[in-house]
Amino acid sequence: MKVRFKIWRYDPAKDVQPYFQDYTFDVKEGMTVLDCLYYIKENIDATLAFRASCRMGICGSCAMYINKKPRLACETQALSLGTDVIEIAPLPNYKNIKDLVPDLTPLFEKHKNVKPYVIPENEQEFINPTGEYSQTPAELEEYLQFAYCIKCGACLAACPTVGTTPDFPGPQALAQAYRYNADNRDFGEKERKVQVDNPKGLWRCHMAGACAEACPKGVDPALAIQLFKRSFFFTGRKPKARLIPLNKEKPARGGIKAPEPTV
Amino acid sequence: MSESKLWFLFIVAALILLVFLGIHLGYMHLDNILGVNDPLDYNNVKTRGQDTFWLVSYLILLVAALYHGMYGLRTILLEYFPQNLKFINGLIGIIGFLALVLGSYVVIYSYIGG
Ligand code: SF4
Ligand code: FES
Repeated sequence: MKVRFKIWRYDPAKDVQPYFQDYTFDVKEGMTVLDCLYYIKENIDATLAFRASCRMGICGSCAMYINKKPRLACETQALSLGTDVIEIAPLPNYKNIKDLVPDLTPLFEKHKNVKPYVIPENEQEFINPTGEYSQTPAELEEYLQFAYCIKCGACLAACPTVGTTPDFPGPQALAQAYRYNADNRDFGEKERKVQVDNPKGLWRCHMAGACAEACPKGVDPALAIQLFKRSFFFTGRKPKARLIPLNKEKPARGGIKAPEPTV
Repeated sequence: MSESKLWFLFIVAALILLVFLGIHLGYMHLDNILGVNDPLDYNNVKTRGQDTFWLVSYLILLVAALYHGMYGLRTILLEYFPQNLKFINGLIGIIGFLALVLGSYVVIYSYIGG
């Protein structure tokens, strides 16, 4: 099927304003939007800039604004959009570096600010781990869906609060703050709460829910944000993970070997 | 006060509103079902105004509605003007305070027989 691609072009070195450029060609069944962009780059216009890496919805690099929705280009079948005109622009709510490439620095900075890692009770354990923390499948379930985030930034592009308040941490960082707070191996809840309990923080979310709609990995940042809000007032007792010391003993010859420790 | 506490009070005010606004709306609009004698009749309004139950209910409703509404207005203003936090806080505080004084004046004045 012949499809007309309207693609956002902007080179800050020579363009005063961004503009849309048209490319029309035959799209075959099975081609993703990313395949189409590679087709354009390899056969029609080598100057087109976009970002991609894994081509399989894992790295989060190829999020862009496809027919007015933030999506992963590599996970969007061009023909499944059901139209012969496909408009592609960079993710909104970010600075545009060039063509389809957004500047994701704020996403990573905000993510870093909420300390997105397990903070153990004892700092020494953080520096020199002496064992592994226990975690039951039920305890894993508490945060698992939020751990699927690939940091594509689509949720920030969809969030109306990020659009008006650039300092708002955004759904990705808030969901990750909650993800670690809900982890029974973690003791950094207070530190993360301090980071977001301010006039531009967590409480600016007014539940538009656009982030949950936009997320290509099925993470529901809006849910995480509501659970996070609730955790400020109803702190259910978080089960504490047990520290299981590393087993340094060698197994007896021929005996069953325990799995290798992961720290 | 921390943002979390402000938000918590906003939710508490919503719960209070649910009860007292329910009483208010029920009384005003379900008068036939509840057998209330014309709630908007001047004499009935006056009698209600001089009743301690209604005085307390109106004051609670006033405070809860004002807090809930003012917090919501602050949220909207902050979304439009995120850099003007201090100004918006001040503006909301002043408007809220004036509305509280005016509202309490009306309720208390009718209670003492004005
Ligand atoms: S929460 Fe979803 S949309 Fe947001 S960055 Fe993570 S994977 Fe992307
Ligand atoms: S290229 Fe990695 S997610 Fe699309």
